[in-house]
Amino acid sequence: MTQAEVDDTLKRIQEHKGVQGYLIINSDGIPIRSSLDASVTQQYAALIKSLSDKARSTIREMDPSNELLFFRMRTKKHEILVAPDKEYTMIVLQATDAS
Amino acid sequence: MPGKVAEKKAAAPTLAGITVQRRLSQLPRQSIIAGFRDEDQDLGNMPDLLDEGLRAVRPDDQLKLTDAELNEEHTRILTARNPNAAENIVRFSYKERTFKPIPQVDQLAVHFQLDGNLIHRDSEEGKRQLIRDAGEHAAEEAEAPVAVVQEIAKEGDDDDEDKVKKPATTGGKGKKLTNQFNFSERASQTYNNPCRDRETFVEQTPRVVFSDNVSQWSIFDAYNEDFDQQQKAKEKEHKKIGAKKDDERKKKFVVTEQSGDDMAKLARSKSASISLKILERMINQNTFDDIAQDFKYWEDAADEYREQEGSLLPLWVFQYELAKKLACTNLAWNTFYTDLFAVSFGSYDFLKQSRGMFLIYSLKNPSFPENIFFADTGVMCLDFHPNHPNLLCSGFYDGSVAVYNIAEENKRPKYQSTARNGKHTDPVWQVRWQKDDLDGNLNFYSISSDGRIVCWTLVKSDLMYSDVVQLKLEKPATESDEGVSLTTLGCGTCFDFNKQQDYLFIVGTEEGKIHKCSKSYNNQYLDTFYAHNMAVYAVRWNTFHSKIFISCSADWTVKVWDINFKDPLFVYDLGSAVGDAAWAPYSSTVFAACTADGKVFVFDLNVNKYEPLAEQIIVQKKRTKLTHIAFNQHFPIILAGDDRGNITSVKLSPNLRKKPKAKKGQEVADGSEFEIAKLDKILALIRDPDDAKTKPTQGQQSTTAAANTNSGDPEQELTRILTTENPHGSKNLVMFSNRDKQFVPLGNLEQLIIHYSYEGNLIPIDSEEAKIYLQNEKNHKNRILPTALLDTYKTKEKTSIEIKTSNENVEPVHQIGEEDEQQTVTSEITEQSEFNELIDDSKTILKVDNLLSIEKPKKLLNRFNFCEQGIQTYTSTKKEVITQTDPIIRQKFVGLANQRIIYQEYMIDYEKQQKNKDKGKQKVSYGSNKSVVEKQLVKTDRLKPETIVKRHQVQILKGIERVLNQNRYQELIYSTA
Repeated sequence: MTQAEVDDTLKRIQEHKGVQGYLIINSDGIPIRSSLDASVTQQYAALIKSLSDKARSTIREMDPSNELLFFRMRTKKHEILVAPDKEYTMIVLQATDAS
Repeated sequence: MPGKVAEKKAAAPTLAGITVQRRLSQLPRQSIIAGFRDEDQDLGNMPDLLDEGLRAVRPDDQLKLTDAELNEEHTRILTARNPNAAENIVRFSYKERTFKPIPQVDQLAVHFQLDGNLIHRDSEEGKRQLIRDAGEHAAEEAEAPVAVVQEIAKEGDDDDEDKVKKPATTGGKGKKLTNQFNFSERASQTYNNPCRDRETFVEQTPRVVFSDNVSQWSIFDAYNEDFDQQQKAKEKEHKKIGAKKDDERKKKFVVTEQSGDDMAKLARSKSASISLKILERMINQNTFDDIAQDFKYWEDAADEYREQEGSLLPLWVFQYELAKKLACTNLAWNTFYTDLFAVSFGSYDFLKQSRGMFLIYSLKNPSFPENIFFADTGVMCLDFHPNHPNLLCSGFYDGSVAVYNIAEENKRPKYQSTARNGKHTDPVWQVRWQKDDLDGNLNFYSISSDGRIVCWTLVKSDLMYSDVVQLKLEKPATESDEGVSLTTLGCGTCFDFNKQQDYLFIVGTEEGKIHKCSKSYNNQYLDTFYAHNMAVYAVRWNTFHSKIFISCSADWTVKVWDINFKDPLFVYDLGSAVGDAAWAPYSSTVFAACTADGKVFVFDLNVNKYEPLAEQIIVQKKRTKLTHIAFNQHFPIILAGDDRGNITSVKLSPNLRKKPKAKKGQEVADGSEFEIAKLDKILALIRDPDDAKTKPTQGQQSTTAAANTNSGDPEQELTRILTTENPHGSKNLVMFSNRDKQFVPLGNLEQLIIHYSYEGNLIPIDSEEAKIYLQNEKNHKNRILPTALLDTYKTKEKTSIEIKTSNENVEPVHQIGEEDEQQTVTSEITEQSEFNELIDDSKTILKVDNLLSIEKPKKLLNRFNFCEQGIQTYTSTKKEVITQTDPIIRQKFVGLANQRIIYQEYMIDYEKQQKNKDKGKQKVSYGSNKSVVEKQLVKTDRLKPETIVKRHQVQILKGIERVLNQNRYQELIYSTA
């Protein structure tokens, strides 16, 4: 993938219905790309990182040959989609339907 | 000790120290100590000895002896034997296994040993030293007393010179002559190293508090990583020997790769791009959740109530910005990934040719294509290889063909035909992969309007071509003899290869003809059908039946053909140019077609031979033409492409993919054989039995003769002659006759076919059986049988009566039993459904009679074949089961209060307070009708805790269910397409 393609994909994601924002954090939990404002970004980066680490640890503990690829959390206000990777973790906030 | 020496020497000049040091350095350390002792002796003894010559010295405590005693002779014999040496040392000899005395013992005893450090003055060495010292005298003047001895120092400086000059007379008061090899001066001067503080200031090393948990998996990971690295190192070593150049290039590559910011790195990371893709798909899944649910679970409930009708539910619409002004020219599902398909875009308008492209879409991401390939000219067709799902061949408007590997990153064709190697001169209308040839090379066929059908073979890096067929036009009959006749070629537009017979294929042309061709004859058609009046847009073989194919054309018709018959079996006029027609992969009798007025038609010959089951406009805007259609192999959905770049997917309702009900007592034969039989059955109904004998031969005679039979007459095949003869009954059965001792043909064959038999469980009310029954009931009146609904009763009654009449009308042949007879006749009727009209007339008359005769709406039951619907089930006895569980461990829980918890606590508290307040308010305001308020309160209170929790849980369960459903549908989401 070229960087242009990544940008395109992110743009498409951003344009989807209900998507409130995305952020990409690296393995140290530092946000490298975000469409949210700074404070929210910081908060999500810190909290989601620890959560995804824990989740990954849980999965690996059960079967070391397994790997966490994706998880999402449905909350009252929105859905948090997280794709943890070895180096980068991608997070998207999508508003859930009113129904 | 050196300290002492230094003290003593304090007065001595420093120069002496230097020489002493020099000498000292020449001597081994042991002798230094020895020398020191010697000097001590010197201090005491030497002056006396030198003063009084060699006189014996008598110590004070010496025993005094008389002269006689002194002169007494003691005879002593000196032997070489050491009296103290042990004589009886034995040692165990392993050889002889005894202790053996050692004969020779060392006899030497050393009592004292001292290495001297002085040399004799008269010796050679001494003389030499003296001479040398004399040479250095000037320098040594000041330090004459070389040996730093106090006594010498006291004697004064004046004497020094004499002593040195006359060392022999003064008796060694001068310079000592030292043994060069074994001498040590005691004096030594050492420097006291001055102490100095040195300080350097450094930056403080940064410290970080680091904490981590080590779990099994992290260890596992670390090991794996290490192992990989080792493996890599090994490989590198191998490579280094092999090719150094390659390595260098790699290095450069790595260097360039490492530059750039985080985002660039992210873009390069392969796993990151995968997770990005997953994320996008997941968002799509959320966005198109309702459609995905429909795709998986929606079944039109209305289908249960209608027989010959189905519906199409529009699902996703695939759009791509850059393809908006182009027409969809072909659709192809991937052969391996059931959710993947390719769409080619170009233009059918001769005047508006521009660029083209093809897109690879996945159902999992309807909003954006997975892959995009651009081309300079319109892409007119493509096909996925059945065994290599990544290989895609395509044909272009400029006549070239190309093969792409869609899995590759670079979007260039792997193979491409050029003007030099057999490129078509007109647009390529269809391409199709074929089985690998004898050498195992991949090959595909293409058809173009330049009249050639070309076989392309992929040989290594080349695309080899060979013309298979040239579509020659027949010469017009009224050809003048003048001039040279111009051989013109027909314009092929479509073709399809037979699924069973590899070599056989059919070609549709712009002239409206369909040619039956073989790969092995390239100048001759096996057969020609005058199929359509305008260009044929598509020909397709049936999925199951090897002789049936379908064709569609711009002349608004779709026709179904048998390869052995000149005339079409079915003709349907769809009211607009038919862009494409396709057989369903799940049934031999279902096909779909799409038209230029935006409609999709779905037919099932098994259900209705005359009308489509579904006819639906699926395009969003008016005047959008549908150009192509494709069934998914796996899911009940159809794709339809239009000329505005949209691809619409629709779901077939259950009626459109219905399988015929299984007959009683007969297992459902699944698979292709069953499907072929199904289609054959339908074809048998419409085929003239005489036709079957004459037509095939006629067809193969000559093409000119066939021209007389005008094709495309839909009325023709509707006339059918009903005979009592069974066309499928075998006519040449023989039986071995024991009497004649030979095979004898069987004369009378049963002509009856039972297509459907249903054993009713009701009997006519005026039958013998019923009469008895009714009589009984009248007498007893104790039990009323379960009466059915009036409607069903009536219809049942009707049919039973019809049967009676038909029985009289047709042939009262079989007199088997009271009820059985009627059933068999029923079956006959269903088979020969043409009688229906006749019966209908009689029905209406009889119905009136019947209604009069029936008084009680009561069912009369067939005693032999009846089953009440009530079912008795066993109720299992209840048992109390007590299970013992482990006592729940109570633990003290210490939690961290974070913002959320505090917030919650506050909220709960606040709500409580609010409630109390409300209560108080209500009490105050509605003081008069307190009871009502209280009642209300009670009501609401009762509602609150339990029902709300319940509702909540139901909500959660629903949520979980939804997610599970979603997952079932998205099971392929992680298989990277």
